[in-house]
Amino acid sequence: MDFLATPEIWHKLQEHFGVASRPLTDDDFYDPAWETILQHFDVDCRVISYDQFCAPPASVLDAGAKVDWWNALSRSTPNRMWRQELPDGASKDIWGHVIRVVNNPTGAYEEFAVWPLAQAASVEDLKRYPWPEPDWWDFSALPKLIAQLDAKGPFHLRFRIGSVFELAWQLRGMQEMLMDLVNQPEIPQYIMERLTDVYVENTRRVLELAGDRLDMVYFYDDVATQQNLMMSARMWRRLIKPLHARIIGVAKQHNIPVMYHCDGAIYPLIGELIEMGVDVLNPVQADAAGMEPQRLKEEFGDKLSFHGGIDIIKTLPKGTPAQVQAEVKERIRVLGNDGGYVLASSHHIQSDTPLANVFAMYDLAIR
Amino acid sequence: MADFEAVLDALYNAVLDGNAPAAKKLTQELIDGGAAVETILYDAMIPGMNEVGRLFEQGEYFVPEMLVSANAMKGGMELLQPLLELSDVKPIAKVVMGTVRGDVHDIGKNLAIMMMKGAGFQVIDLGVNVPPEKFIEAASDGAAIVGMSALLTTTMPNMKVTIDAFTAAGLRDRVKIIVGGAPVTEEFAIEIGADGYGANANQAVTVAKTLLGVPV
Repeated sequence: MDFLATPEIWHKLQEHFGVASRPLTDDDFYDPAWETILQHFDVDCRVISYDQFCAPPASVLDAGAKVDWWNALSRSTPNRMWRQELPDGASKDIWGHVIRVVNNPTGAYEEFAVWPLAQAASVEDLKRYPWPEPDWWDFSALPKLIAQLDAKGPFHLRFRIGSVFELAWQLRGMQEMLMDLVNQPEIPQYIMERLTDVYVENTRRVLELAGDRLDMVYFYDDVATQQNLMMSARMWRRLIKPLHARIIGVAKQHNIPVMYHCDGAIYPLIGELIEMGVDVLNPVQADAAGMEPQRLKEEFGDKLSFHGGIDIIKTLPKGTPAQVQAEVKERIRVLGNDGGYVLASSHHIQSDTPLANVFAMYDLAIR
Repeated sequence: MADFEAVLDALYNAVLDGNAPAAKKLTQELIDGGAAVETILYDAMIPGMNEVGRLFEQGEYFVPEMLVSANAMKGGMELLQPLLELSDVKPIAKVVMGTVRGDVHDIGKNLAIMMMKGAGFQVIDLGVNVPPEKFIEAASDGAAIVGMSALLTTTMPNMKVTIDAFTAAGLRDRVKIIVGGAPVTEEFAIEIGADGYGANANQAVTVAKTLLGVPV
């Protein structure tokens, strides 16, 4: 069972359980208060993420910026996440995205304010970008972190690395990037290769250090919409698949299973993902085209496990606790038939979800 | 009158293939040769984009191909625009589009706008984080359709808030309101009292045309 939520939900749960965050220091790799909440729900999956270990040279910081580990709104787990806070209130991640906060009726969301590679007209232009190097990460504290988690219980530990296509378009701008895929594929290709080089080397170092204790490698990359793939399967095969295969390859060298996340209607690629070595698919959005749990389980259940499935669009924010429990039971019945299912929401539980529904979902009695 | 058929055909294909330089060159060639604005628009560009929409629905084209086609048409349209303004060629209708308040996601909305323009609509793009009063103000100037987009479940309720604001302002009957965005469904559209729902950019066009009684 796994738990992922936006900070608003974490904060409400902290209040509910009466667990305040103590002041956190640079030695903390996760917020122990949030960790307590996972224990309340009996969650047995833990994520160790590459962005807990960023250690870039000081020259990477903008003038007047300071490192922040805790304020990123995209934190969905207890883990810290590296950012630099800029003097004007925006922040910047390790890749150079400038991020601003936008408020909505029940919470807030982060948005990219600048597309740092939008103006690049050639691969030569791209080469001039200050690309992060594998040495901008320092994993030496990893064994200590693992020991801390192991002391709390027998957890399933997965190492999380970043995305290829998604991060690339977040640097380039989505429209620009999608058009590049047709008109000048060498541009997205170069960006995606630079990212993959870092992921592959990070993962290699992490698995060399702690491969005997890590249970899974996890990476994410959204290449689908609710209705279909974002690009043709042919284009995906040419430009994305080889890079994903490199990441999967590192895990497989250490005989470690791989979980891959892609929102939406990924059905047309599932067969190939299995061939590439993907063992677990997240998030199973049952309302996306072709993603009916029954069909997925029947067609791929002997080779693929599933993670996610509880709908964050309708059931969790708008359903009753009884409807949430009915969906949980249904997913366990279908996806969990003969095992192979990790119960989780289909994305981070959003700020508009009533706590009663969160409790309904994690009610041990119904499992 | 000169026979433009071969050049129109080439322009149609340039739009279909998303070849922006060719689309520009051929549009200029047609203008210079004295082809009517209407002919260039209705016998080459719009049919090209219609075919793009059809191939998208069939799963042969995807978002990248759709984007480069829309971009190719845009290049041609920029050359055509000054002439269009002097002509008596009217757009199908005026459409006001934006992402609702609290939401700054614009990829889907922009794609829908491109397809609407490609189909011959005049589109006013209100951008993102658009409050109800801004939709109303923009729509008061002769718009037939209002299109709203949202990506977050937390901002979807602002679609209803905006529809209610149209009702309160006494303008609800004057416009057709269509909605779209990843978490938005047909069921939700009906529930909030929208007139139509587009599951993707191409369906936004189909729905808008259907609501106006224009042949799809």
